[in-house]
Amino acid sequence: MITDACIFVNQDNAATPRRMLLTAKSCGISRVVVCGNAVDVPASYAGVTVLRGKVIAKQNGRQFLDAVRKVPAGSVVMVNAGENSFNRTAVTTKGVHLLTGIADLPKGGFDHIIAKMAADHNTGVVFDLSRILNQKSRRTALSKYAEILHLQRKYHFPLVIASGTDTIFGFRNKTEITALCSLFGMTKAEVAAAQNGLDAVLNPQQLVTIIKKEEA
Amino acid sequence: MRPLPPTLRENRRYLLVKITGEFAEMPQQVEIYHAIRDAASELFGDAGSAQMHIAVVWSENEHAIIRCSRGWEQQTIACAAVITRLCGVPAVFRTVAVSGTVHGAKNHIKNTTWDRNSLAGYQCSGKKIDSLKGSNTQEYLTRDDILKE
Repeated sequence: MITDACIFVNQDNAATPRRMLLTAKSCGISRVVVCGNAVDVPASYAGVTVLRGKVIAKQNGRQFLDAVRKVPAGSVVMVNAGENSFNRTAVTTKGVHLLTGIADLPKGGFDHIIAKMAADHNTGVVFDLSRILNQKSRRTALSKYAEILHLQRKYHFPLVIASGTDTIFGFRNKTEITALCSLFGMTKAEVAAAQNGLDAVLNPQQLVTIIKKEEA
Repeated sequence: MRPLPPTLRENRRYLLVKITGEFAEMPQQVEIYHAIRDAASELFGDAGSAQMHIAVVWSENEHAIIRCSRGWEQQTIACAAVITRLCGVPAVFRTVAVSGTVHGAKNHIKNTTWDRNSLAGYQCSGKKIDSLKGSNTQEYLTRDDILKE
């Protein structure tokens, strides 16, 4: 299931939530995580399944844990990355699904230790394509994403691709996403895995899986 | 002088792109070329963009065909994907198909049909209704949004 891990749909957006979902569908996306304050978001529209998401900004320890606890059940919890110590707390906190804002990381913000922790706790890292599309943040984003990809190849933590758009013009189709990700060295297979990466984060593989026996 | 035989000619690829944006009228071919050339120059530098041999060979309505050297298709798609503005207005270049000939690329064009009588609104790609004049504050609507109102 091709997933866009983060789009922003707000009440004052130019496009209605349905229009955003229709555009996502035309780009071949079958599931989106919707962040923002829009209230009239359908659970599914035009074959696109909607998951609600919440982005938590960088906060102090206690406030951060409270913010994670207050997120409604069933939502995808994303945390804006910050300094190294904060990121370690974020990836190991129960209930946090994704680490986002990687393009704005300070130097040493995401090292091999956090990469190992993210792999152990099955916390995903979001590659936000809007940072590549933005001329000002493109260079930083490409270099940071290349660094993260290098760590991912070694530690195998989940990667997720998001468009991070709040307009209908921010969506990109599968071919374009592959081409954009090739700018920082991601292969076609890795892009395909990242587009389906949210499943691995939300439903991690268990040591023992109970399979119901089919009746003859 | 005899023309260069096909085996000695440079191999090229043709990208069919669909341009969507808030244009009053569709931009000219030269505007599309300037946008893609600038994007290529930004992403790959002058040396890289020179090797790509980018050109816009055809454009009609919301479709255009971009030519590039064989082996540079992925980079050209990336160049088209990073374009966010055309003629000063928000726009997006959607790559529809890559082909070895202009004719092959044109075969992928799908024209949308419209039922003009049912609802008043401006046409837009993908059977959506754009910029509907009315009491709605939101600019981009779907048919379901209008029926709901």
